[in-house]
Parts: sequence; structure tokens; C-alpha cells
Amino acid sequence: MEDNECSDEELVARTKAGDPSAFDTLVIRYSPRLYGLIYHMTSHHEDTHDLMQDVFTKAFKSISGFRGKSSFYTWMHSIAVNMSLNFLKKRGRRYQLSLDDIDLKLDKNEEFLQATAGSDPRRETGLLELQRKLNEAMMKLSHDHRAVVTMFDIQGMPHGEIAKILKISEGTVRSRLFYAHRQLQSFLEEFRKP
Amino acid sequence: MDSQSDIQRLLRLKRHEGPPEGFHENFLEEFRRRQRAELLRRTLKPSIRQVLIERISVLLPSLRISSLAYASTATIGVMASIIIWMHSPAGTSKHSPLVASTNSHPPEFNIISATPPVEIPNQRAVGTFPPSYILENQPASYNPPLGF
Repeated sequence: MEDNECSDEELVARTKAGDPSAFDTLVIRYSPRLYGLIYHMTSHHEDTHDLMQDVFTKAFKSISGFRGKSSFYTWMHSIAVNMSLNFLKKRGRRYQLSLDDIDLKLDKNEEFLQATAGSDPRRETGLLELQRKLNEAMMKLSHDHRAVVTMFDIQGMPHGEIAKILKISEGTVRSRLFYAHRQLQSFLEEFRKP
Repeated sequence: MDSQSDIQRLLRLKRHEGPPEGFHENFLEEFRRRQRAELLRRTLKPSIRQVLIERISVLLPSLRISSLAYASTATIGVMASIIIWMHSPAGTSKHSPLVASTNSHPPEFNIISATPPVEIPNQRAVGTFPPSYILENQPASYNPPLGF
């Protein structure tokens, strides 16, 4: 059986047994998703890259203590979220969007192009402006609110999974989302469709 | 369309944001490189605890004494100490620390050590000389002052 077809549990067991290629497969499997999670919390590609390395390093060192009580998916996401939150609390700097951080592949995305074509001719809704507004709005949220918005709205995770990752109740997840959405409403009022 | 779904629609657009091209291909290589560097660092600079354990483990075989021998030696030492203490005046109830004399003549002091008491030949006639004082094996200066 190829590594790509192995389940997370099998790969974890092989990693514990000393097979480094098994953990490599887990890295390949989880890095795109974890990148999205960390990037949307930090809004900075370089910081995301460094954090990703730290997250997988910590996971590799701690994998012998992983007992399988939760899924490996939840466990990895817990590590990523906690390390991102700790990073943001330590840095505490204001986010500044630079040209390097702009994802220029978005100009070929149909959904994104539709969002920028507004009926209001007065507003200038270039790609750069929209992404800046979205990122600024996200960075104005508190770290905890940004985490739930990232996982629910951007990554599409269910409330229960978010609750397990953050070790809070589902009710707390819902209330944080409600509050975060209200805040984002005022930040993004300009880009709402009539 | 209500504002809530508008917000969520706009946020969903962020899913399309991604890393620069080639990121994921290079990421694994860099991760492996960092792991090798970490392993090398640990090998070259072991922790203090690791150094102590290693040195003790090297020292024990070089003395050619098994750990069991160490335990046996320690046990014998403890038992010998107990036996010596039992035979000492402090460990027995036969000898009292001081026997006072009522005779006016100055007492003679015999010092008793851990070994059985040595018989001192009696150079004076029986009954005419004052009794010997038997003290613990201590110099006179260590005796507490007599409280009159």
C-alpha cells in the first residue's frame, strides 16, 4: 500500500515505530490546510512559513505522546492554532499589508472577480483593495475571534470540530462567531451587495 | 441577501488565497533539513543530565565492581556499625557514665574505651584506698562542670 493511501492512524503508528517517511506523508497531507489556517490568522506569508515549520517540528517531537483520543486532524489543528495564538500574542504588532503578501492568483478566480464587480461606480474595488479590506477586517478582530472565523467561515469546519480544537463548548464557538460577524459587518459594509 | 451571508460570502473568498508557487514542494525539503540540523545539534551538545548519566555509566564498569557488590558492601558497613555500637558503653546498659566516690581522697580515674575494660593492678591495700572513678572515654575537659 502506498503512503498516500494509508490512514492517519497507520502513518502515526509507523512514525512512532521510527519510519520518517510516514511523517513526511503527513506533512504533505496537512501542510496545505494548515497553511490556510495559519495564514488567515496572521495574514503574513513569511510568518506563516516559519510557524508551519515550528508546528510540524513540535508535532514530530510530541507524536510519541499522541494517544489517539482525538483524531490526528484535530490534534494537528490544535497545535497549529495554539502556536499561532501564542505567536500573535507575543508579537502584538499591527498588521501591514505589503505587495509581497498579495495573492496575485486571485485575478483568475471567477468568484473573486464577481465580488469585485460592484454596481456602485463610486467605489474602487480593485483586487488589491478588496484583499486589503478583508485582511484588515480580519486583523481588527481579537485573536480568539479571528481563530473561530478562520476555521468556520474560511476553512468550513463544523462547530463541533472547532470546539474540540479550541477546547471550548460549541455554545462558546457560536457566540464568538456571532460577535465576530457583527464586527466584520461594520468593517466590510462597503462590499456588501445591495 | 442578508448581511450575515454577505459577510460569509466575502470571507469564503479568502479560501483562494494561497502561498507562493513552489511553497509546498520546498516545504518538506526544508523541514527535513531542520530535523537533521536539530539531530546534529543534540548529538554534539547533549544535555547536562545526559552527560552525567553517560559518565556514571562509564565509571562503573571501569571499577569492575558490580552494582550488587556496592549494595553488599554498604549493607556490611551498616551492620558492622550496629555491632560496634552495641558493644560500646553507650550501647549497653551495664556501664554507667559516672560512679561518684564519697571518700575524701582524690579519686583515681580509669578511662574505659570500646574494648573490654583493662584490669589495673591494685597497688594499695584493699579497703584503705578510695574507689576508682569510672568515666566514659572522654578527656576531662569535655566533662560538664559540676554544679554545686
